Amino acid sequence: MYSKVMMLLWERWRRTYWSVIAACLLPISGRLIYMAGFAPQENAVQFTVIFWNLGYVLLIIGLLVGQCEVRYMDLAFPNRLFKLPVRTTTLVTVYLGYGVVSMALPFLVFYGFEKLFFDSNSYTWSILLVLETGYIALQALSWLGGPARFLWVILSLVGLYLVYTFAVMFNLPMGKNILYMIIILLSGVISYLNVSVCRHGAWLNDWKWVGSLIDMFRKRSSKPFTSAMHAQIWFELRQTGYILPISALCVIGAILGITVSTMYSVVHNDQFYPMSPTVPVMFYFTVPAAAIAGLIALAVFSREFASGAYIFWMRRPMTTRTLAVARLYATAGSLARLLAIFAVVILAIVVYDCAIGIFDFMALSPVKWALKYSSKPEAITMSLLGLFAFVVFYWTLFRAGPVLLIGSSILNILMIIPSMIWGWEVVLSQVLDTLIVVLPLSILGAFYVARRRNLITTGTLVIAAYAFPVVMVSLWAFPWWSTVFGLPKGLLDLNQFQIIRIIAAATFPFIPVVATPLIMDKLRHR
Amino acid sequence: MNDSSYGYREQPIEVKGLTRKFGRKTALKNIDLTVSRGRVFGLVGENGAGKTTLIKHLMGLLKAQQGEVRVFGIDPVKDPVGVLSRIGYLSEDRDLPHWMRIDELMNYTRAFYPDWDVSYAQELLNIFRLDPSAKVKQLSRGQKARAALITALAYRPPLLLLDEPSSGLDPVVRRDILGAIIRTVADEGRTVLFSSHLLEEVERVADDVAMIHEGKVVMCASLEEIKDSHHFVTLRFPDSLPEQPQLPGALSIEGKGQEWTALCNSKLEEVCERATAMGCEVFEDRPPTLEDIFVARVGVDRASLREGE
Repeated sequence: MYSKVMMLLWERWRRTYWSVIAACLLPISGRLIYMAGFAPQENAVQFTVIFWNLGYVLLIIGLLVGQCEVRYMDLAFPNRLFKLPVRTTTLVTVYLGYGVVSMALPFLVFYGFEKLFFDSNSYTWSILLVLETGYIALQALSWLGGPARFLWVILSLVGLYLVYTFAVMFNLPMGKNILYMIIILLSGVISYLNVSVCRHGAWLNDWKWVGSLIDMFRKRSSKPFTSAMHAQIWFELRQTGYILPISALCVIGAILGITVSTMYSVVHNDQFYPMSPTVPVMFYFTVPAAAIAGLIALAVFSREFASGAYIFWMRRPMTTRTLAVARLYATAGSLARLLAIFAVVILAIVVYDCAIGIFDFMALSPVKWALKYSSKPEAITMSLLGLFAFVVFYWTLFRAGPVLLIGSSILNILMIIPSMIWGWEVVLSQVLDTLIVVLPLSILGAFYVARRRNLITTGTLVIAAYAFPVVMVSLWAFPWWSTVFGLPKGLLDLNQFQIIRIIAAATFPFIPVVATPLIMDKLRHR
Repeated sequence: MNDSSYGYREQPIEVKGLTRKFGRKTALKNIDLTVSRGRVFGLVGENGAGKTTLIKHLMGLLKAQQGEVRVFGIDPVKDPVGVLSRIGYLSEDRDLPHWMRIDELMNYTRAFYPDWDVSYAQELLNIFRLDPSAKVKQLSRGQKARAALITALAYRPPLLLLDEPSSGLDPVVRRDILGAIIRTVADEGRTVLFSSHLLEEVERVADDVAMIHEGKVVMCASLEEIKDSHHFVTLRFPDSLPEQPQLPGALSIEGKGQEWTALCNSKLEEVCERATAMGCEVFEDRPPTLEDIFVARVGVDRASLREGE
């Protein structure tokens, strides 16, 4: 008979083994691919690091969400374990211990591989400590329950700050390693407290007032709706309308963080580092937006699946066409909120810029970067792609369900890896050339099918597809662009092929408008 | 609901040759079913028998792969508005958005149904003692069922589809509420189709019953006919029998020695004749419960499946 601890560990392994194995094999695969000569020799380190990071991202995802059933992915500590006759200390220790060992395993495997075959020891133990600290802190965050989640984060940060201040005041040695150890200890204690409280369910009511406070800012429906469409738009907005602005805030925060932290490496002797011009556009808008919105959407969808509310809209006595229009209206509503956030951020950056002059590096200058280091046609195309990619991800993939989201994330990764190896220009050029053929044809095909099924009208397509870009461009990029660089002059230089590229990019907004009713119809009448 | 609108002359539910597969698994096999106006129709079967799948077809949430589904003469996939506006639906999972408050849920649902009866909805809210400011996620399973029931009843739909309505309700509330609502709706000329695996409950309120087993309708008739056509008889033989006796329409036979009990789907006279021929007497004849019939039917079906293998 196996012990309780062994069974808990076995169960954990069964749920997460795929990520542990992937994390162990990916860095070695990267090394082998490089050795086999498939990647340029000058990118050796970069190449291995990408595979290394990818492995750890998979592992952390596996450890954080792999603790529950895949259908109900949730970050909370799995409730089913509370029914077992096992002490909370054991549960927390087994889960954290398993995570710590899993994080160390890929490191040790790769370290051993490098040492054995190349006699290299470039991977220092401090990296492992950073990885373990990151994992334990994330795990502690993931187990925070109820509305108190964010308060715990604030409390932890304040605690860390106090420790740091105390160390400075009394001239105590405060190396990075000591700081990591403090974070690990703090995270362990917080994890235990939260799991313990969650197990006895005593927490939620105590923090009910926080939920009430959040609800004050949400739009409530106290009066009867004037029409079914009005009601459905309200429902759509309330259901997912806040996710886009919130994820945008996260993206902006990430952009600001990355920009500020990398500012000094980009600037060298008052000159820009010759960075690929397409990187900021693609990176700033597509990748983080897709990744963050994707993660948030996964969490939202898993909650909807768990509550069964995912199919609620399907039972409304409305045509799928009307439901799709309501969804598009609601999306426009959340985009309006997004624009408001952008406006506030721009204002804040401009004000801040007056003080320290970092406007050129901030989130809203990718178009300027692109224009500075590339030809105007490529810049126009890339700007359109960058601008619309965010919306495309939101409208179609995000609304279509977790399967498509996971697919899009894999696609993203598949696009990033070759881009990092062979350079953005080469890959993007291939992508653009493919888009020229595939995109307009796919949209035409989808429109034909939607029209045949009476799911869309030409008017809806045209109005909805161009409403967003017109608003977006007129409010933000276009005036700035035309005043600084003079648009007519730039456009006159275009050749035929470049115009086709721009047209292909401009068909992007049609995707969500055509795809939304089709996907909704498919989901509604399986 | 305006009864003069189109579809009034049609039967509330007509299903012909409906087959549905999920991958390799056949969930529904050639289902034929008609539900008449003003009847309470019970759909019974084990968990996973295909009851919810059938109801989803009636709602248009699943498209018929083979066969035909008509609700008031309308195809639910082609005209979801025509069908959904006439149906009050209570799902098995009580799948309400957890973020909504009860009053928001009422306002929201009301917008889709012009015949929404505000005073009736309020009355039901009072009867069920639901707090309008409570969020769905704060409700117990039973309270969620009640909230969902209000949204399904308040516009007095001509067809009520209840998927496992008793699930999550305590026995007292289940008996009072379910009985009263189903009977009231049926009395007013509206139609109810409800699925359940609690056969006692079905027996109490249903006019017609269809038994589904592994995606097939194994029996469909009025409850009266079903009960009239089945007999639970106890036979007493002068000497003990080494093996079970052969009786006409026997679905199950149990016993040993001199006394045997059988559930037969045949006329009582035929059973008595056969008993006389075997030299035994019919010691007892009592009407079987729906549960007896269902268990026997499913047993026969399983046996025939085993033979088929």
